[in-house]
Amino acid sequence: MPRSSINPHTANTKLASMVLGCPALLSVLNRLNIKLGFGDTTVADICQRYGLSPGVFLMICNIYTFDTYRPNIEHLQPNDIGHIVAYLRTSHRYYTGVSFPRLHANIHTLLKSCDEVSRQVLDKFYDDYDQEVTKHFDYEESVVFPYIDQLLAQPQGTTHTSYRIEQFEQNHSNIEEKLNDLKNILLKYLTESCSSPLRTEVLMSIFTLEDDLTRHTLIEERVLAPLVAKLERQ
Amino acid sequence: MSSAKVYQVLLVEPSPLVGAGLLAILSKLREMHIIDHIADLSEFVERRHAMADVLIIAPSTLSHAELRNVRRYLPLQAPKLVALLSSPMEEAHAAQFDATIGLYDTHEQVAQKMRFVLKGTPQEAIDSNELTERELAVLACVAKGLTNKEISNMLNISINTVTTHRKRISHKLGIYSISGITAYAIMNKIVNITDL
Repeated sequence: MPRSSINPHTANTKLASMVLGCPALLSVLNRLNIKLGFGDTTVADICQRYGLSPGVFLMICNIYTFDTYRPNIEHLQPNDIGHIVAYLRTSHRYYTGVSFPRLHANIHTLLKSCDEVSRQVLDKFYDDYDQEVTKHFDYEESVVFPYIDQLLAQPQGTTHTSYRIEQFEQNHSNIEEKLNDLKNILLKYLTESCSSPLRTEVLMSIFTLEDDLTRHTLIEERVLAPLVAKLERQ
Repeated sequence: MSSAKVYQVLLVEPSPLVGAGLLAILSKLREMHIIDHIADLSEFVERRHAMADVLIIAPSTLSHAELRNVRRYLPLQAPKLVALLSSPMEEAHAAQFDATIGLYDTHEQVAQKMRFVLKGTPQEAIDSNELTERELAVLACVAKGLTNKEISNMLNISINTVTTHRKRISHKLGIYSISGITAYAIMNKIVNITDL
């Protein structure tokens, strides 16, 4: 169900009630190394304890919780950019180190129980996709984030590179698309004979990952890119 | 019917305040499901938004030229189109919409207008996902790796028609990438794996 963002979370919201309303936040907390067992701690307190920017943390949580929430970058400061990049980097590590390898292994096992043609076709589909995902994250890790690091270290246009965040905005490839396709193939088009409890499990993990990536992309495109563009203009 | 169809609604409205207000009213209507609220069509994501049955859009987000033939310009084929007005609209433009909602409409008026719009929605326009013969032919070509231009020559149809077919295919199957289309075509024996 989409949740409408008429009352987004604030610094006074309790962390526990936020998670109870949106279990996907558990994964976000995990990436930020926030340990569970935080009792009735508020967002403001947890941010202070872990050295997080409350503005950035709240924005991330609201994006994950409310489908119609639109982040307002006017509420963020230039030095929040570093916090956003740090979060995106830990998210990348989570996707490339945990989510995708797990999905790959499960799909591989699932396909063993399928007919030869489906197995061949879907193995190839996933292998191609895997390469695309690796390329996507590599580009951000080796070009985009280092550029932003450099820009933050020496603002006022003293950067030597001709790279601009605009190039990221124009070339940002969509890695959720094929995940959506895979979801439909596994749900609707793979034959009934190819059934195992694993098929359900794989599908559920695709739903979770696709939703996660969509929100991750939103942070990159609607928050990070415009903030960096603003900094470039200064 | 107790298990009535739930209609997917997409809202395009640049004002967060107006958007949130309308969503609050719509969220009380059980037969409607809000897919998303976007500020303008630049935020449109085919995969997430194209399945909308009803598009509620602020005409202020469209240019005068686009409004003259609004359905042709829109990136989706929503069966129902509702204008969310903050200022008066030319009559010829308004005629293309199934209803208009004004800023001063009451809860009841909005609910009534939306129900009226949904009542006239033909089910088959929404539910039929079967591919036509032409679509199957285009699908096979896409799976074989042909470009739009090559498909257009081969089937003797315009490139524009090829793109329309491809959009419909993707929308019906829920598959948008070429490699996904290829996988589907092979698994359903529309093309042979050795043909590729």
